[in-house]
Amino acid sequence: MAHLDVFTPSEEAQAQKPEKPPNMLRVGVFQHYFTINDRRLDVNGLERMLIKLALLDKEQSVMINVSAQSPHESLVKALDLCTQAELRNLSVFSAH
Amino acid sequence: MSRRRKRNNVSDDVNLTPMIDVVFQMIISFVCTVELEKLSLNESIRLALSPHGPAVEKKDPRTVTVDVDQNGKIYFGSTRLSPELFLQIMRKTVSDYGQDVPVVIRGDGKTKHDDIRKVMDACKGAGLWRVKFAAIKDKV
Repeated sequence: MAHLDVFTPSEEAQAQKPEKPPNMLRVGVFQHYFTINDRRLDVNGLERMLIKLALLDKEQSVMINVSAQSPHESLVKALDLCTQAELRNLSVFSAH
Repeated sequence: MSRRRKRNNVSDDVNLTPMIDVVFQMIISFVCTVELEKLSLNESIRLALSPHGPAVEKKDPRTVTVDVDQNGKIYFGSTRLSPELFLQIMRKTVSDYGQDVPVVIRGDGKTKHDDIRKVMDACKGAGLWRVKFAAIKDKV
């Protein structure tokens, strides 16, 4: 059994503002595919791209935008691949 | 000579009854605990696979586990809840135990994210921020 953390913003965290704007990676999770910075990919492409981008900066923020109709396993897969690539700053937000 | 033999015989007899009693009690308590744990989980839920996710080593005893099935129905153990009732329960949890209570969402892999989001929104609405997704680490 594994537990994937998806912290929602606490009041304390919201009060602490970052010193400089972080690098940001946008991952999209859709019903049948993924995207990275609006580039459409399959699961293998996402894995390769995340590993490649993580080599540049493991501390960069990853914003995972999940579509309402996408299956939960796709989000878990995206989180798992980010963990595999050792990307730590993950945020999940839902598209309506 | 005969006296010495008799004394030796008495000292060789170790009474195993208390030890066997304790061992049986331990076995019974383990079996009961495992059964209760099984009952609290919804077995119809097929968790998604996460081979690289962190393994659960130490679980906070305050952890709230909520199940979301394939149809988006929310369960606490075997009890089905509406999102509104779930929100009320989470608010009560926060008032009793604070905002740092971990919430584990056991969502079926096929559940639409929209249904998982309702649970996440309820947690956020109650002020809970330690939300986790349960997943299977290894294929069985």
